[in-house]
Parts: sequence; C-alpha cells; structure tokens
Amino acid sequence: MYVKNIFKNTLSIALLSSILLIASCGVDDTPDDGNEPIVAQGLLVLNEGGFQKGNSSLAFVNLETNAVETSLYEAANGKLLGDVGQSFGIYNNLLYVVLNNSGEIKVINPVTFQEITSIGGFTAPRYITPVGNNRAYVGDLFAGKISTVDFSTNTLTGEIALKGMTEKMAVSGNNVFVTNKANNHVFVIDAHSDAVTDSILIGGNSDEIFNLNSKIVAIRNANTDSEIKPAFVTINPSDLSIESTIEFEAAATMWEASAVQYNNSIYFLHEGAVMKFDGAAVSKVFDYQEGISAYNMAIYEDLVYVTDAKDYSATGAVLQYNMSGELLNTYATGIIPTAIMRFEK
Amino acid sequence: MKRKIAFACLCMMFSVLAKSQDSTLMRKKLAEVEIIEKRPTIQAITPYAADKSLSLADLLDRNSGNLVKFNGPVGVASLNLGGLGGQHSAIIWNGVNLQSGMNGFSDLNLLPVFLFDEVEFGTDFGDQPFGGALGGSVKLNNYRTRNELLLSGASFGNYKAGIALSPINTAKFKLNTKFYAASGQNNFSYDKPSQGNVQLQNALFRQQHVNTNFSYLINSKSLLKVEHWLMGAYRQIPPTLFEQVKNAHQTDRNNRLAATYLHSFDNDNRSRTFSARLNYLNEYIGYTDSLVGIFANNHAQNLLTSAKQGWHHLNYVNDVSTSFFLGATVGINTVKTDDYISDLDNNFKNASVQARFQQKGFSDKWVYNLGAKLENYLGHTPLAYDANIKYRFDEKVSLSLFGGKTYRFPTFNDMFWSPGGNANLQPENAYKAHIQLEWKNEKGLRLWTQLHTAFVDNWIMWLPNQQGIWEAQNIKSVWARGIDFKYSYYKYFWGWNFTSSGNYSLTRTENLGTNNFVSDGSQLSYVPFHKANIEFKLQKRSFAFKWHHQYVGLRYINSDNSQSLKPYQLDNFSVGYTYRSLNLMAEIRNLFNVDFQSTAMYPMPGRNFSITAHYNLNNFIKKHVR
Repeated sequence: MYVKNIFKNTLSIALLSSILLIASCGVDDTPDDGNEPIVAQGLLVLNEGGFQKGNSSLAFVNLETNAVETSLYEAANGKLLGDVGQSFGIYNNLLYVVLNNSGEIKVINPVTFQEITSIGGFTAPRYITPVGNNRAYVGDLFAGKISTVDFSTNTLTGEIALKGMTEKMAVSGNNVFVTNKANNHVFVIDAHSDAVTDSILIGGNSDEIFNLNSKIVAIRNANTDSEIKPAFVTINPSDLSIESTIEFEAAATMWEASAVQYNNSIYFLHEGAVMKFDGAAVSKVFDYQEGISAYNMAIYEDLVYVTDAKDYSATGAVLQYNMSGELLNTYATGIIPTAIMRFEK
Repeated sequence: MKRKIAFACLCMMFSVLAKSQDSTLMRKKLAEVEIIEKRPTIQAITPYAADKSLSLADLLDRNSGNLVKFNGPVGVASLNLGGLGGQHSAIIWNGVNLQSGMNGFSDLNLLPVFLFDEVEFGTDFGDQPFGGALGGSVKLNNYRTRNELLLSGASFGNYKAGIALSPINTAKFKLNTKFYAASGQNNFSYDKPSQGNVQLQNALFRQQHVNTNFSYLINSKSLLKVEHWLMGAYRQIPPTLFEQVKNAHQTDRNNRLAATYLHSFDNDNRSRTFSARLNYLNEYIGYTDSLVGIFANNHAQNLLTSAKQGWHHLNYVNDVSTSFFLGATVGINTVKTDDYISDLDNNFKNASVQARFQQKGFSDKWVYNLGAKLENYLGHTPLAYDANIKYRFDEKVSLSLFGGKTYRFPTFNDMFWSPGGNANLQPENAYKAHIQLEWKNEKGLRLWTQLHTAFVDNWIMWLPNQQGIWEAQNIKSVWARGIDFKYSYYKYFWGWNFTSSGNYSLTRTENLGTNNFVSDGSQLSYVPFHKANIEFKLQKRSFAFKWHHQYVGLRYINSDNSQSLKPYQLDNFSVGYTYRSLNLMAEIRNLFNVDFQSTAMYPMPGRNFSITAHYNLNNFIKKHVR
C-alpha cells in the first residue's frame, strides 16, 4: 500500500498555515448574524475507503472538544465523495481531494464542504504538487504520465510523459523531483518547460521525497528479494549528484515508508515504531500501540498522529501521541484514514 | 445458407439417433448397481423447462433463502450457504469439487442449469475432496438422457442456445451430449455519480459448454460411466460506479473429466459394491488489465483417483438394511502462475481415507449414517466427521438431524501468492449442526423448516502485516446460525392449476474475536438478516402465469457494520405457453425497475425482458428419425 502524507517541507507547512489562515478568513459565505463564527482548531482527515467500495470520506477532529464530525462531504452534497481518497491539500483557498480510483480531483469549498467542481481525465491520480504560477503537477499510478493542472481554472491543462508509477514530488527552485514506484530513478522535471531533464539512479524504487534543509531526500524502498535495503538518499539539488545513501536494516522482505517532515527531520513508521531521520542517522522515537494497522502519520505541535486502518474494512482511527509515545486520544474518523492536515472549522 | 447447413447438420445428427427415449429404465439399473450413501437432509430442485435458460446463480437465488452475491451482471456470482461465505460453499459435480484450487470460489454464472437434471443443496458437508463445504454443498446431478432444444433472447443483447441430444440410448449404451452457448452485451443504463444516466461499458460476456455423458452397462453387475465437460468463457470487467474507464477482461477455461466404474456382488440378503473413480480437472483463469499493467495467467490441474468398497446386509426379520463403506483417494495437484513465489514446489499430493456406516429401516422409515474422513493435503491432515438421522413419523411428518465437523484447506493464492501468501496457514474448521422438520398433507400443502448453527475457527483473512504487506492470516472465528422456512402448495379449482411456493431465511452470522482486526459481535459482511422468495403460478390449459417476488434485506458491507446496502425487492412476471412439446415463455424481470446493488458499487440492470423457447425433441425424434 502506498502510505502517504501531504506535507513536504517546512516551507510548505508555513505556506499552508498562511493559506489556512486566509481560507478561514477569506471565505465570507458564513451567515452574518451578528455573532462571531465559531472557529474550532482541529484536524481534517481524509479517509481513503476501500478499493472499489466508493466510501472515501472527510472527517473533522475537534482537538478542543475531541469530538469527531464524519462524512462532511456526504452531508454537504448528498452524495458519496468517491473511490479511494488518496491525498488532499488546500491551494488558493480551496480544498483539493485526489480520488485515485475515481480518476478525478474534487474541488471543494473548505468552509461548507460543498463541491465546486471536479477535474476529470486522470487514470489513477495520486498526489498534487504545486509548482508555481498557479499550476500543479499530479502524479499517476498507471497513466505513464504526469498531468498538469491550472488552479485558476481548475482544469487539466497538459501532460508530461513519464513511464512508471509516478508518486510524490519535491520542489527545489525550478526543478521538480519525482519519485517512481516502478523505477529505480528519481526523475527531474523543469517546471518552466515541463520537460524531463534528468534522472538520478538511487538503486531502488521510491515514493517518499522531501526538501530537507535545502537538500532533496528520497526514501528508497526495500526489496530484499533483490537485496535492496531501505535507505535515505540525499541529492544535491544544484548538480543532481547523490551526496549520501544511508541504509538501514528492515526485517521485512519488502518495505515502504510512511513518512512526514517535521522540525528539519523526517519521521516515519517502521516495524511498530515511529522513527526519525535527522539528515545523518536513523533513530527510534517511540513504539506505538501493538496490534494496530498503522497506515500513515502526521505531526503538529509535537503531537504525533498515527492512523490505524484496523482491518481495512472497519471504521479506522487516528491515534494521538506525545513525543514520548504516550497515547493521548483516539479518534474514529472513517474507513482507512490516510491523510491529515491541520484545520480550522 | 447458414440456416440450411445448420438444418442439414441437425438432420445428420438425428439420423444416428437410435431408440432415443427419456427412459427411466437405465436409471433404475444404475441404482441397482450404485448403492450410494444417503444425504437425508438435502433439498433438491428439478429445473422446469422455463428454468433451463437460467444460470445456477439465478436458480438458487430464486429458490432458496441463501444469498447469491452478484458482482454486477458479469462478475463472479457466489453462493452464501448457511450464512457463510462464497468460498465455503462446495459445488460438486460427479464427485468433483468445482471450487477453484486457486481462489476457492466457484462462479455460479458459469454453471448453466441447462446442463443439469437436478440441483441438490443443503447445509451438510457433502463428501467431496478438499472439504470446503463449511457453509454447505451443492450437488449437480445428471441421470437422464435428454433430447431438447433451448433458445433464449433477452434485453441488452443477451442470447442463449442449448441442445441436448442422446444419439445412443439402449439398455447397454447411453450417450448424451449437451451444447450450450450464451452471449450478452449487458450494456444497460444506470445512474453514475456525477455523470447521470450512462450505459454500462466493457460488459461483454460469452460462454460455451460441451458436456458429454457416456455409460456402458458391461453386464448386469458392472457399469462404466464417463462424463466430460469442456467450458470456455470470456468476459469483460465493467467499471464500478466511481470508476471512469475499465478495459479489463477475464478468460476462464475448464476441462473436467469424471470416469467411474461400478460393480456389485449380490448374494441373497448380502451384497457388496465397488466403485473406482478417476477425476481430472484442468482450470485456467487469465486476467488482463492493460490500464494498470496486470497480465495474469493462472493454471491449475487436479488428478484424483478414488476407490470405495461397500458391504450391505438386509435383515429380513426386522427389515433393517445395514451398509458400511470404506474408501480412499489419492491425487496430485499442480499450479502454474507468475504471481506465486518463485521457488514453489509445484506438486501437491493429497490422500484421504473415509468410512461410513449406515442403517435404514423398512421403507426408509428411518435412516441414519455416521461418517469419518481423514485427508492429507498441503501439510495438514484434518479430520471430518458427521452424523445424519432422518425419521419419518408417518406419511406427513419427518424429522432430520445433522451434526459434525469439517474443514477447508487454504487456497493456493492464500499460501503462495507473492507477496503475502502464507505457507503456515492452518485449515479452517467448522463445527455445525442442523435440525429439519417437514410436514405435508394430502391437500397439497408442504411445509419445511430448519434450524442451523455453525462455528468456524481459523477463518482466513487477508490483512496488512506490520510491514504493510497484505498477508493471509488465520485471524478470527465466526458463529453462523439461523432458521429457514419453506412451503409449497398446490390447488386445482375451476379448471385452473394454482401452485405457490416460498422460502424465508433469518440468518445471524457473528464475527468473533478480540483483536484490532475483528469487530466482535458484528454481522459478517454481505450476509442479510432476512431473505425471502415467494412465487405464485396459475395454469390453465396451455397457458401459465407466474409472479415471483424476492426480498433481500439490509446487508452490512464492512466488518464493523458501519456501512450497509439498503434492502431491495424485485419482481418478475412471466407468461408461458405450451403447445405439445414446445414451451414458450416471456418474462419481465425487475418489473418495477428497482435500482439495487447486490455488491456495493456494482450496477445491476433495471427492468428487462426475455423470451425463451424450449422444445422437447423426444417426440420429434420418435416420429421422424426412428
């Protein structure tokens, strides 16, 4: 499974925080009844739903009251969100939800959760990466291409041929670094010309990549059948050279990262533990609760959120830990919670 | 020109027919030779002419309280017997277990009713290789020699044709061949989210069958039977409600052979029977989805030999007959697919021994039998045992009891799929029992009820392990129980024949477990609490009118029961006309154009129509060929 998170680097977190602030203030369709709108601090959770089950959903976790509102899109629109909610993000004050098996991106008002429009024409879209000039790249698992989307018109504007399964991307200057699940390279695209300009062999496939301390760090997936160990591969974005490859042991024959960036480090889930890569070495942060199906994670204000997909059919949960590994709260959000963002509602 | 050629071929085939008749003589002779164990708690359906264009999925869906799960109009249709899953329903044909060795399912859409004379089903275990009947078993029987023609056309480009011919039908030789072909576009309209009303795409479905039965009565004591079944099917896989495009397709090919030698030795009140069988199954499933890069070719073979000896004794003093059977099987299985682990030892041997003791009272007033079976396969040797009792109080009332334990081996996919196959899986075990009460009167009313219970442990589920790799695991237990009712009624009044039949099942199948992966106490997905069918038929002279109504209750579709499919009710209405050997039927299905889903997100057709012609060729052959 392709375990994902939406944030790439501290810059994007700062940017997102600004956007959220603008979003919460800028959308003025709340009723003007003389009272201040109640703003709740919390988390917006995208629940992936089962493959071909059409039960992806959005939930809001109120971190002040610990209350959970589920099926936000369904309640606002009277219909189901779609099949396999892959990722989401807020860009230009609008919520974009990528629905992998529906082959579309829903554009949603983040205040009312009403659908504004839908961008179709994808095969199996995965992640949106803003690349400047109101444009974004959207990777695709099966189409053999990256699609370009215009945020101002919310339309599909073009495509960049790129074989394999394109996954997450990281931006450095004009260069967009693209991971690939069916290829041992990280590809480089010039965001101005939309041309694939280079490829960097990292020795294994990858789907997580970050702009960490002005370096590009890709997490190489393990496949010990072919004797590939998991590794953090650091790339110099200027000359595209590999500066370091830091391998570490994994018990599994196959292993894929579920990782986020926080405080100049990469945190990831690995064999029952939350781990940390600080740019030089890997260390354990804490062991999370045994017997859960840890699927994805997020970190905000020194609180770690681990999603528990349970049996991938029942209502999953978001588990809130402090940095010492103490379980603070459990929030039931929906089927296979997969992505989390800080949110005000 | 094609019609002329077809007619000429038909005439040539008819010209070789000799003494063709729908004789029961041979069947009686076979019964003399093949003394079989009784399955006293089984139900049977003998398909009417009007049923012969149906698939086994439709036949069982209309005539039982057990859920048939349709994955859209062309996907795999599976049967949930006794409140358990599709992999727990064994489909038995000539002693061959038709459950796929690779995925454990038997697709009921690929089993046309036209090929069978009788369908038996129940919540007992059957006696098939590899166990598998945790929920129950379905037995597909052929014992008649038939000459008949079937033609059917239905909405959305669905056409079916079948012909059964018995060119040899003598006391010594019998040869019966059935050809069946079906094709459908299934391009019906449905409401797609965000797109409105659209036509279903990529839903073509074709299948062809050739089924040949041959029997040779060597002498009054010995009989040789050979049955061969060749099947090929091609189906496209349509998109689910949210999928935009789909270009996947699946090819199924099956080559099935069952050869049986029967011999009996009679000596006054003592007799012995001996049977030897050779069964061969060759199964191919190809799946291609170029959009996502799946090109799967899966091939499995199974060769099984078995021998069974029976000893029988009839006590003339108390009219009790006693039988004892002892049997053994030896088989070899192979599987070939790119999706399994690379270093797979590709030969899997299986062997079993079994014994059954049976006693019957005068005129079958009572019968009971006790059986046990030990089978070695895939590194495990589970034991199965069961007891059947049936007691007939009088002509009206009978009581049946069944109890025992059986098993289901993990499938090849469960054990060897790469990644995630788990070679350490244990067989699933089921402990189950049922009690049945049957009552009938001389006024045409027949009532039947059953209480059943089954406890299954070592239930196999695919779940991600700590590394995120989906892996087959023995994860939970399930307790299924329920009550089934059935009735039939016949009345003749004012020149009309009135018949009515119906069934209702209340099923509770509870997930049991205390770990993070099981919602303890929840209902098993897709098992409805309630399912019912009711049918009324009025017949006068050559005309028949039939109305069928079905209710399928709420079905939870995920493990903690937080999501469900709403109940639905379907109505079918048909008019039949019979002229001599010709039976014509026009049917409106889903009369009220109900929007429903059998499996979540798979669209199903609204109101649709079919016309079926069935012609019994026996009289034609007698008149024109002999």
